[in-house]
Amino acid sequence: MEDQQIIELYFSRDEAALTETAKKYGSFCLRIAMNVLTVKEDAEECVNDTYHTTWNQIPPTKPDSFKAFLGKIVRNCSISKYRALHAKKRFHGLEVLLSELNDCVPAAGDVEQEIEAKELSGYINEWLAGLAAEDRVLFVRRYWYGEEVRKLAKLCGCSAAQMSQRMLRLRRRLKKFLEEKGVVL
Amino acid sequence: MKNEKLYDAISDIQEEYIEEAGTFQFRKKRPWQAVKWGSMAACFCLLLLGISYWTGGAFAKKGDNNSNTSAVPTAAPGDVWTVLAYNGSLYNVSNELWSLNKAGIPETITSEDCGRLLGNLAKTEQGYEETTEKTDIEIYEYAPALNSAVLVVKDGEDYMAGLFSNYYQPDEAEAYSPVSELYRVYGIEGAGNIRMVAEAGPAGVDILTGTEVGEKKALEDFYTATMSTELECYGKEEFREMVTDRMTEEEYTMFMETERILCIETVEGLRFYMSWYPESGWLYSGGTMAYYKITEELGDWLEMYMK
Repeated sequence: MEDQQIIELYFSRDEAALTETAKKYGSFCLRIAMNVLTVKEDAEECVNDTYHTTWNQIPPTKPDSFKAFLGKIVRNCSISKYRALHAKKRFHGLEVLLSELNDCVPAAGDVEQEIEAKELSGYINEWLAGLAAEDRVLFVRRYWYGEEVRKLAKLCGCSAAQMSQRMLRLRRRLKKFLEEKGVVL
Repeated sequence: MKNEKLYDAISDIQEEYIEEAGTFQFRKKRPWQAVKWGSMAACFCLLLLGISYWTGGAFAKKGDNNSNTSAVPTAAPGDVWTVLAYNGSLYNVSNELWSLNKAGIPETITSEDCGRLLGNLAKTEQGYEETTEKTDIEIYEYAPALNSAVLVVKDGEDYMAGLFSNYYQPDEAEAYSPVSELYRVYGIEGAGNIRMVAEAGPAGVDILTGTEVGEKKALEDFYTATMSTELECYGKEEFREMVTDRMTEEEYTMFMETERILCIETVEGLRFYMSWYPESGWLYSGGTMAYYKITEELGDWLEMYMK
């Protein structure tokens, strides 16, 4: 079923919307949740919450990209769950991603004014726009989708070590970009 | 936490990038058959003309887009060798003692050096390549060191060594092989697989000139520093843009003159080489065709042990 038709089902409050969403995007959502949480039961719980949230948000929201819309919800849900579980000292995939992102944190500048999250997203969008398509996709697949380095390496036909190097360089480029913009986190 | 703030900001990137990432078709590296043999041949010709016997002339000359810096040469001056394309890498096939000694092989190859039979080879205009057909050219493991750095080629009644030259890098601009890739070829899985590191002399003179560093602690530090993810590597084109293209002719000449050669020997006695440019802080490996920006950790090690 086309995305537009599924969205129409939500608008007409037809519960078939949930079945169709699960059929078309269930594995996509589960994959994102698994990348963050690594525990299947937790991930499945997040996917169910995602359907629930989607049901509550459409209408009135009418997403331009239904897939990205779902992705954002499942990702946010997974992060919230990760944080709740992390408080109980359970180890999950997000820790690895967060530790890698330390490389992107710009050094503190003279003007100590912390940037707002929305403004920071704007800078990241600007930086992404300036990247070669493959680099941009790799960055998003790693830090938005949370995919493993070895999986990305396989997609690109290189070794995991090579991919790690490439990721390191992307993170450093982002750090440099943010520093040039005077961003303080 | 600052990294969490960054992670949250990434959550809100534009949807078009999320879509793009989900549907993007990656361009895989071409298979080895697609390697431009012309450029490889050009490289070997350059080497045979005597340009840098040791590490293949690490630094491409300013503005010279055709020069190839890919191979660790293993032939003596005037020695013409054959190229073997095998399992994702290029090898130089030779049985000249000078070349063998340089790679750490003490005697010419004989049938006694043959390990397990790996398959058959076919002859091409450029040299040898793998084939599934039965031919009278066979390729074997090198029995004294079971890794992929040295292989044995049996062509009729002749035995020769296939000496690892470099990985295929179909797109040289994107050659980002870390040192770990080179170590893998030589079977180095930890500091314990390295027997020593020493400085090698200029072409044709003594292979090793400096003190051999073989202490356990020193080798562990060397291994750690070269395996560090902080050791950034760069492809040829990128390096050219960043470094050599910004130099004047004089600076370039001076830069080249600072080259020193490091020899790394494995516990099996195999040797490979890297160029070290102490003044500018670069390391070059022909095997990975990559340039490494020396970290403080590695720089300190080199300064301390390679006096």
